[in-house]
Amino acid sequence: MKKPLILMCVSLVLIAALGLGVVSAQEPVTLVFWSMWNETEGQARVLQTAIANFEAANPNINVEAVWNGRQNQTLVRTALSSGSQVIDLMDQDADQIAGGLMREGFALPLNDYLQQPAFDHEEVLAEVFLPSTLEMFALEGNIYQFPYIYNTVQFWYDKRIFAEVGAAVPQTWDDLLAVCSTLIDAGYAPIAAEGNEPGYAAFYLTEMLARLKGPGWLRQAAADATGEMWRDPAVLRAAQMTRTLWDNGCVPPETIGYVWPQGQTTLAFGTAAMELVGSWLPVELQTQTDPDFQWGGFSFPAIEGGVGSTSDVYALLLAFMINKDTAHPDEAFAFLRYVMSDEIQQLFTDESLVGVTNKYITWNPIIADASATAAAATSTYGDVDNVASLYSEYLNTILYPNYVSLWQGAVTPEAYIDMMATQTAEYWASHS
Amino acid sequence: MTQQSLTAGRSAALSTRTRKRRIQLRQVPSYLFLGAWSAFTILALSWVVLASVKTNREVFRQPFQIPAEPQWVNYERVWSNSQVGQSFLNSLLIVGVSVVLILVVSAPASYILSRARFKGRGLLTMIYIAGIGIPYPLLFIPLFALLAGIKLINTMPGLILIYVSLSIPFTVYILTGFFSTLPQELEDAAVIDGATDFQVFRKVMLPLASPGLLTASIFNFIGLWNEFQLALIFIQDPDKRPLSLSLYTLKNSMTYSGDWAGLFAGVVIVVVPTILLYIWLSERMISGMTLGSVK
Repeated sequence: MKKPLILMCVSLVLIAALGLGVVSAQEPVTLVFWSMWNETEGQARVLQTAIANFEAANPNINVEAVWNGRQNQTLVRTALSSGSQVIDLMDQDADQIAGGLMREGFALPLNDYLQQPAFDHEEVLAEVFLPSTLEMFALEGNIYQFPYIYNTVQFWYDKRIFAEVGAAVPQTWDDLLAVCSTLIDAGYAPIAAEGNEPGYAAFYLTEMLARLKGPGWLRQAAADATGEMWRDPAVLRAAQMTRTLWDNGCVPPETIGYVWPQGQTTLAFGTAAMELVGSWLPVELQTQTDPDFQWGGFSFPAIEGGVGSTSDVYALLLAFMINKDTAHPDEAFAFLRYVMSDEIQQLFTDESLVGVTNKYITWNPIIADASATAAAATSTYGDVDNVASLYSEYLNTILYPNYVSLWQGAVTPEAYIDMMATQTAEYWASHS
Repeated sequence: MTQQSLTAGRSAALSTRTRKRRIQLRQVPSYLFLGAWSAFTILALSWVVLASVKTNREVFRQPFQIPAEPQWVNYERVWSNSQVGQSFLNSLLIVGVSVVLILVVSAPASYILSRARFKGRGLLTMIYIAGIGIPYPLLFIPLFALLAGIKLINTMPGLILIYVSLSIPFTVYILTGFFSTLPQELEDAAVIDGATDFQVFRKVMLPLASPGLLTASIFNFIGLWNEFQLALIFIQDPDKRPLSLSLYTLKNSMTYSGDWAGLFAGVVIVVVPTILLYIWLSERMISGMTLGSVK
């Protein structure tokens, strides 16, 4: 009679311990965490809260955070390569980790750890993540990254202007052009954009090709050593669509001289109606918009004849990575498991106005439409359809400069195709 | 004085005046250029100061207007959220100590390399000077390993050690030039008067090379004050950051949160003491650099 009682008590204690994020090890452990945030940023403050709570629940664990800012991966790489600095975990843009430390073999596979119970739900931890986030940068079945912040790239618009002119959210490319005409007639600049910001301009190329050819096609074209994939009629169509935006006045001509953040301020001040950009935009503009500004978001519209869907989501995730050589992988993962708790994930979205990867969390109302997009995602792709993580040199020397030339009207769509096909072949010939 | 000589004198004076006027006329474009440059710089700085007391909305909506109500709270926010004051003191300490140590090491080395006669002197000088050509990024990993080995990572002494080591080649290059131009007779005279080798260096040659030392100090001070790359790699603790790193951190956190007015307030906090320091030292700096160029 006693045995089952003891077993039950032991089980209850274990469950309670897991619930509080308590790790079994009792000897003092110091986890060194190098972060991409500066110590005064909102996200860093949430992580500081998470660290304090985690340390309180695990008195034997001390999390030593180093707030390096956006150069974090470079600094981590230098430190790890020197072989003399202990770093147990770090965080950065998932694309950058995938193309950097992960590819260089510094990351610990997390598959087994992700089968642990979730912090505050009955299912396993892997099930708590929003669809297509954990697997986004998986390599040969191994998951090396632990995404915790979720940015979507989509059109962000001023709902008041759309309501005023009677425009509905465009579902197709033709709808988008029709909304542009309506907005122009009403005296608005339809699309806010930056003149020479390659990353922002390339959102259009990425989305157009994802809708026309499906996610993954652009990254194949980038890797095509012959360059011939760039001669696909879909690329010409995407290039022509890019120029149509300018020629029709959807993107106002003065945009060509805008330097970031000049373009996006036109949206904040009610001159322009929408912008294709990440879900960080409402945060960046929160001190510039009217208090009653109403943010809305919609996915890049479908394109007639295209194979891609509006539920294919351009996702820019921020993720943790555990160093494969850490002496404390269990404790490091216990901390990540706590970061994924409802409490901390809710804090991220409430305090820092960012999207998160925990499917149970209601995102901050300012980015509610991004939350809906993320929840409905049937597939996700990273920056420039993952070209940023796989072929960053190609991106910066071939793809970006040529697309900016097209974006600014310095070359015709036909010339752009030739340039891409020729230069891609030359690039891979010299990088074989 | 004859009429002829008077006429000659007058025409000479006239031609001197004409030449002066021509010279003055020729200088007009230079003055215009310098005037425009100064006006632009003053305008840009004034704009930054003005923007620092605006709301974020005003920065973009009314970029050239006086703010309706000065937002001193921007300064409060930056001062409490960042550590620019501490970083300024850190920079003074790191750069000041580094410059002194660079001279302590480089001056004797340059003196020996330029004046002593021994086998391999040329090669040794070349090895010193070759250090100028090594790009910093190549040194990141080995330096990190070395510094971690002696437990000086993330410390100001560690950064000072790196600054001193990497500045020696350039300083030796400058100072060997100065020392080699000093007359041999002064050294000989001091030896005849009974001075030891060290006394010759300390009491005779070093004071004569002071313009060179000043030039080297100024170049090193300016270079290290603005140095960013090495500080970024080797300092992680916010309390130990030099000003360049602190400004970078401030720029990142302010731009990502869209707090442009706060960013400008931070820039003013950083720039004003630097400008005051420059005004205080400008005469010495310019004279030092001019002397350096002649040598």
